[in-house]
Amino acid sequence: MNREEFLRQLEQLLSGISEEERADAMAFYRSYFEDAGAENEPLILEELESPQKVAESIMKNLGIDGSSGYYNTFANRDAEYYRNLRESVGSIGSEPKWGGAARETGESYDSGTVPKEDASGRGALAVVIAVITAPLWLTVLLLILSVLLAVVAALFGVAVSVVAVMGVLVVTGFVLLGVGAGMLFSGNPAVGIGLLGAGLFVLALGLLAVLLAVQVFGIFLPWAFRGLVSLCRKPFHKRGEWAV
Amino acid sequence: MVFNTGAALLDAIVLAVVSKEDEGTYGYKITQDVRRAIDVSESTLYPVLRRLQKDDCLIVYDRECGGRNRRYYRITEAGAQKLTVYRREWTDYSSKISELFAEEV
Repeated sequence: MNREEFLRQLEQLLSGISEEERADAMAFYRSYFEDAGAENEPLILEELESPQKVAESIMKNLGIDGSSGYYNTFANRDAEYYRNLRESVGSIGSEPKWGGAARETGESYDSGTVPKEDASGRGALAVVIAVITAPLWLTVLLLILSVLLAVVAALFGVAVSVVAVMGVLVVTGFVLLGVGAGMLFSGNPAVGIGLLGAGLFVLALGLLAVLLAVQVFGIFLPWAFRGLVSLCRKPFHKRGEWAV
Repeated sequence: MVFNTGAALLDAIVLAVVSKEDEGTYGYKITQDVRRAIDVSESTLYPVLRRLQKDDCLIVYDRECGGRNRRYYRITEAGAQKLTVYRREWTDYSSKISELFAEEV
């Protein structure tokens, strides 16, 4: 195959493309052979391989043959990258923008919205569960409150009776002392002294009762009350201390 | 060569080769110059030149030479600007690759 034969075959193979494209390609290769010189003709014919291969490369560049216009020597993944580069180069002066845009969208997808929805969803669920289980925990709450009320009432009753006993003992002690003193001077002195002794004894019992009441209500009850309060707090504060 | 030459790099190389000649240059010479740097088949370069011509990066004109017309290619203002961008991109790209390849001492 010589140069003329090669060019004739090439022109036939390019009959499917526009007149302008064909004329341009033919002018290029005709000039190419001429510029290379007759001495290089066999070398160039060998390099170009065949008119078929040359025609294929021309048509691929025109987007014919299902190709995207890049050369068969380039991998498709490269073609995508260079398309991006070409676009950025097309708008001269501006920085390449494909990387930054992708990163921005990635960030806006990751942050914010999804965790927020999750948290509010959990809160709504908690409210629903609380409403559904209301009959159960309301009953338990009322039960606990009534028990506490009973305990307080009982303690109050005990306190009243203790104070009453105390008062009776002290009053009785003073009365016995007075009667004993009267008897000592105006009646039987022995009975008077006995009554005085009894009065002092009863007064001592009354004072002991007062001390005991102070012990019970001043120390034991606050301790018990604090214990009760921290027992109630415990479910709400996992690290709540026991006030013992 | 083990590394592929992508379309953009080939465009940049062709633009650089053509820009070196103030009076323009022709197909056969462009091919020889490009092939001094990278190994491409001869049939690859015409489509590149044609596309750059359509993108107004190169202009084609005929010039009388030895009794016949020779097709000359010359870089345009748009082509020169594009080449500037390609040069900057290449400097950035190649320096990063070179940095990665550099052996730590």
